[in-house]
Amino acid sequence: MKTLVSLALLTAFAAAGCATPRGAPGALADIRPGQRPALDSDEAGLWMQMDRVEGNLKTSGQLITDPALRTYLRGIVCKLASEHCVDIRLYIVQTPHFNASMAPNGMMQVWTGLILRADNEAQLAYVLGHELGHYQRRHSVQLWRDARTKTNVATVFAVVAAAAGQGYVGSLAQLVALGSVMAFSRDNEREADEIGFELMARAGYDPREAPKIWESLDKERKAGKDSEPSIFFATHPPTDERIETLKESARKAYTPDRAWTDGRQAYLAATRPLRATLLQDELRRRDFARMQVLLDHLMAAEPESGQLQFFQGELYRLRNADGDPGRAVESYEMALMIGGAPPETNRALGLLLMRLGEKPRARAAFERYLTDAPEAEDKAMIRSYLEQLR
Amino acid sequence: MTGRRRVGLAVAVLATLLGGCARYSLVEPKPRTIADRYTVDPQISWSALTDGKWELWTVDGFGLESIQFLGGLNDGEPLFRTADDQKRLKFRKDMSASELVELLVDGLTSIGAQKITVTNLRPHRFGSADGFRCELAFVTRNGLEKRGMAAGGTIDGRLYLVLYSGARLHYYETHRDDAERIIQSIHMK
Repeated sequence: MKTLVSLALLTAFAAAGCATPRGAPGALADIRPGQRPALDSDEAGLWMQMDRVEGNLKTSGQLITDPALRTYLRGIVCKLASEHCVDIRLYIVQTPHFNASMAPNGMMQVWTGLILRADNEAQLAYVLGHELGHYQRRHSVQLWRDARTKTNVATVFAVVAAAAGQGYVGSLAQLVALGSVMAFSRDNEREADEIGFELMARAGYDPREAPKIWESLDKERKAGKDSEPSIFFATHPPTDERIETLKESARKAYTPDRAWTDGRQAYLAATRPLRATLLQDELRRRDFARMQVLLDHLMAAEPESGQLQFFQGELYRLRNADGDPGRAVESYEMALMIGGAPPETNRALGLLLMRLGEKPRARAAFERYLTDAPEAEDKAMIRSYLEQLR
Repeated sequence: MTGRRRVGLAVAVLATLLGGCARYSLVEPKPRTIADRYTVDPQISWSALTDGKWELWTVDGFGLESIQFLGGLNDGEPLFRTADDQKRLKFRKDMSASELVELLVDGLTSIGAQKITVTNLRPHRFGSADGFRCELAFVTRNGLEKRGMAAGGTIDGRLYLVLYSGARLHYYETHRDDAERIIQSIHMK
């Protein structure tokens, strides 16, 4: 049990911990811009551990280092909390899970599963604002102090140090388990929701977007009920009450006379170059029910997307349930008809048709693939298929 | 496969990404039979462990570099036995080389690899059978960048695969030529 509690601490630190209601007993003063803990304080010990985790993260191969995307995301953070901008270091982690976190030392992580799922800048701003709320209120420090009264300090440090050694992203399953142990109280999450909402609305983002991202996530969570749990859901359950509270706040805050923005165009411009990679990562989770909900959501906003139709075909081809090969062929052909599909659409179509014994159509698809991607990394193999299909 | 054996195999496979394990044996620099189906001729000594259908060799440690031999996967089996193997791709004996590589990528994903890219996929004889070769790059679950190369083929309805991988910095290159010689030496029994 002690180990479990210690591990739970790790998650809470790394994922920017739970929250304490504003003004509640034991609540800390908000962090001030540029503030660092006294060197002889317990808070400094916590920062030191997080500095080690951050040191590993800096050299992780999972980081996305694209300067344009980093600048764009950092711009959102600074728009939300300009006073803390200089103290926050943002890292984009390529992993197909919805998550964002904010450590007490100013290390902010944005996972690409979140970037893929946010419809626009306003939704992302709300989630980042929520995490900034944890940071501003020093919730993880509060958790650290609460937890130390419940477990052995040496054990806690050992676990945190071990985590620093293996890197933060580490074992997702472990983090999920820990998040469940330290599930936030509704009051705690409500406070972070309030701060996130205030920050986004103050920055001019359409407040009606805030509840929408929780609604989308809730649909995905329900569809994927038999699949792996989410670290973010474990610590941030998208409850009906929470969604309704945000909707009510949005109704009160939204006034038609103000020039609100959802920032969708800027968001698409910044994130679209990455979308095919992120959808591929998502596909590799083999969580087809959840991915179908995600694809339905994306296609509702963009029904004429060859790229999305291609991934719909990929989902069918790889799921390979009864009737799926036929559905996959239809999706690939639809993607090619719409336009904007990647060259790999013809390759996937060719592979499937070859498996189904439709040689002339398979051959035509492979030839189109090599025409569209003459320098493809698998061109030699595709040429060998063409020989076989003669 | 028993639950205990499944766990054992998962541990062995995970060792390729995470390092560490036990029950090593010495592979001497002389011809050696793999899976009772083919021989290879290592030119240097390796440390090996075997679990189920996988035989894993390393020089510097599994976290740094390894060469792994899959000894005959049957139709309907996943590449790796892991907690989530129910939802993973299963081997089909009619898979094309492209689909076999897709199976490999799926298997690596199931044991924590991310950002996997495949390059230079090409036809290649695996012993006496038609097969494939390709190069790989991926990142382990703890952020270590690795490179790899694979060779494989379906023989009598069963999948045989050799995968060499190592840390992008230093270790992959250190034993790449040794691994290449092993792949080139594959000879069906």
